[in-house]
Amino acid sequence: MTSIFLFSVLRSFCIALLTAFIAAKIIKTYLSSPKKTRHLILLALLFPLLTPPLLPAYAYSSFKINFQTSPFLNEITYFLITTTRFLPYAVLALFMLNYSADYSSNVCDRLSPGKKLSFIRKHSTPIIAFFLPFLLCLHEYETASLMRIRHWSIEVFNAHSGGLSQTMWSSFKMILNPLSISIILIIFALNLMKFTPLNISRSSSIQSSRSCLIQLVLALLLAISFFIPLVIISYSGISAFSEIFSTGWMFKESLNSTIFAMIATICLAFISLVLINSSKKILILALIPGLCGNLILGLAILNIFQLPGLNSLGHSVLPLTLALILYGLPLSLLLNFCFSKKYKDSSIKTAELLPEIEKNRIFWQLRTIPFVLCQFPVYCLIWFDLTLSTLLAPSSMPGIFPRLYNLMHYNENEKLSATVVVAVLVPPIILAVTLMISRIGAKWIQGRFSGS
Amino acid sequence: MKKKISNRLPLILVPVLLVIIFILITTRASIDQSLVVYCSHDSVFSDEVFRKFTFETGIKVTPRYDTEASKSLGLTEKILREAENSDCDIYWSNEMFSMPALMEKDLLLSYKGRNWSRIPENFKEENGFWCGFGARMRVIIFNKEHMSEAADEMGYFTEKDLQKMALALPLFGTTLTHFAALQQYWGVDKLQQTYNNWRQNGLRIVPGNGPSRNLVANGNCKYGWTDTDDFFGAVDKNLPVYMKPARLPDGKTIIIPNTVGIIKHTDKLQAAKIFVNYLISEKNELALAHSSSRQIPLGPVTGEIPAEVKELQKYLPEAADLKKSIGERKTLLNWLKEEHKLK
Repeated sequence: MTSIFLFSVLRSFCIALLTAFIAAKIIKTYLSSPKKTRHLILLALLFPLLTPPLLPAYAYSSFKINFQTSPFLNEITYFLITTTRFLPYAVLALFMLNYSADYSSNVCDRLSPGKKLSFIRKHSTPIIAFFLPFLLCLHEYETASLMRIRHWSIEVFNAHSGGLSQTMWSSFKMILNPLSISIILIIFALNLMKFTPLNISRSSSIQSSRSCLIQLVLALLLAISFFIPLVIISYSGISAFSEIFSTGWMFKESLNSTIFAMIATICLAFISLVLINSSKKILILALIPGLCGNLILGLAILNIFQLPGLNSLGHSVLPLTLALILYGLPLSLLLNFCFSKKYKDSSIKTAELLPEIEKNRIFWQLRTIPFVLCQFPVYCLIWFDLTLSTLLAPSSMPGIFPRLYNLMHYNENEKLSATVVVAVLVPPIILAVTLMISRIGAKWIQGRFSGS
Repeated sequence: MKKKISNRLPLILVPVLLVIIFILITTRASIDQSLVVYCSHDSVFSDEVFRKFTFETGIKVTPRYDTEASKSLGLTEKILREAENSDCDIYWSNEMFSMPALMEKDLLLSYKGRNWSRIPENFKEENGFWCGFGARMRVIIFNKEHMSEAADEMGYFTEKDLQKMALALPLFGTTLTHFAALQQYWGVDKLQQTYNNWRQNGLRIVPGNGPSRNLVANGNCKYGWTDTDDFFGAVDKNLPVYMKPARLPDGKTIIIPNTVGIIKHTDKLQAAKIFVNYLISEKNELALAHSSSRQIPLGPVTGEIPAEVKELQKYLPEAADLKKSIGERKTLLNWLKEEHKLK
């Protein structure tokens, strides 16, 4: 168990290092690119977020050259899939932190004579961008399970075979090491966030050849994690669409997953805004459940709702909603922390001095859109969750992803491709609707002020 | 400080109110009289059974499915944990080892309905706590391109180099049942020694029967152990495979039925009884035989059966009585966990 854990840490470290490196290069390319290229980069980064996590692993498993026969090839595939999957999170963290920089203080810092910056302070932003994929990777479970990767979370799962005869304490003991590492990293990241990011600036210019290389790397990763798996899955055609829609489960189960993900994301946005200014102790306490990973978290919530007094709520929507909130909290906090730094940016402060109508318009552009975009990765993380949904969803409200997994298991590729299309389309639709509603809301407020 | 808390109060109230409203709305909506069936048989096949049952009886069914992902953390454990608080009325398991675990905790209700007598004795509990129907068989799946069909003596991993042979991790599902049966025949020591030899000789241990089937079907392995439903999944994709029944040392076949039991605390007993009768009926067994998982009818059937299932039916009289292996499960699991360093 210990050697597997150390190997998991090493793998997560390498993946996070590569992810942070590529993310930093992408941000540099982004900042020095024309508007059109920027949009393309943003669009490209959306795809890994919109890919059901199990899909690439499943798609590659149907290749003639099966990766399970070559552990090395299997590792490489998992490495690439996971790197691409967590890349948008690292880019987003860098993007938000970089934008949050107060450039005047940045310049002052650089001009201050005799002020020597430590390595860590100098590279605080990429270090934070490294922590995020590292933690996500360390607690990853579902893809590793499907690809039969040697990962500590799989060992925890296997140790529960034959049932939950083990006490929660013995389950907890198994996750003590990863949990400790996670807590240490979170404390470190929280301390680093106090610093003003210094190392990436808008004015950075990079050679066009390097920019092309970055775009090529991005395209390659996207092909591996999104387009090739989608083509493999869709190869058998989407003839099952009519069949699936006639049975009715597709709509019902997609709606259930959407409702859970929406409610958890909205709650998380508010909870994060409350917690951002809390003490470090409260923050760490709030982060611990989510850092245990969805398997342990699901089992813990399952147990809690068997306790006298709470068991009457065991079949309600509360266990799953609570679990999803706790699971999404670390990511939500990090992203909202970055967002709150951005909100303190001087351009926002300048906008506050403008007349009410102008202020609303600028706020919508500078605050509402980034705020909604900031919640989007959290929504995706929750939307694609399989384990919590399987363990905790009330019988009357099953989610779509346990179904998707079963379709994979039985190689029902026709039905699977139709389900995947729905799974991929729902998050951008939700994003578009949310932005539309917030725009209408902003216009309505603007109209009220201009009327008065 | 007070100002700070009052500033945050609306932010705290929004999620709390939202969750409360969500609970209230969904609780109201979920109060209906539908029968809650926990089903570990795959939704791909069982959906149709529920649909037909509701169409014929007018009784609505709310299925709760298991996934391969949750395995032993799935439905059986959920019922065991929740005990009298479970919302489950009926448990439809795709194997037979879950039912004794529920029986042990006094969570099942005895019921011998009108179709009870048509199921053979070795596939049902004598007091009516659970009953089997539509079964799968453990098989050895071969790749046609690597092994000729004449090589029928192979399949027990007797070769020295086992890197081209596949087996699902025996901690779960039907492979665990297979091991329990072997333990009953071989005894603990021989099973442990044999399994250790297999692992030392490079046997590929994969997460489930599906991956075991895939490795063989894709030509990466010559043969492996799996179940008939997984085997037919490869046949339907025109992959180059054939199979032989996996036999115990005394030549008996391993036939693992679906099982059904009524949960003791159900408040929909009448509907539950109708459902059990439906599941173990000839009509349903025939329907399962015609499904793509080709389940083997356990009781006598007069309707037409697909040719492939007829072939499988021939092995029914040779089936081992797996009820005898139930007691082996706990010791087996403890050893396997130690073997895989999970303790």
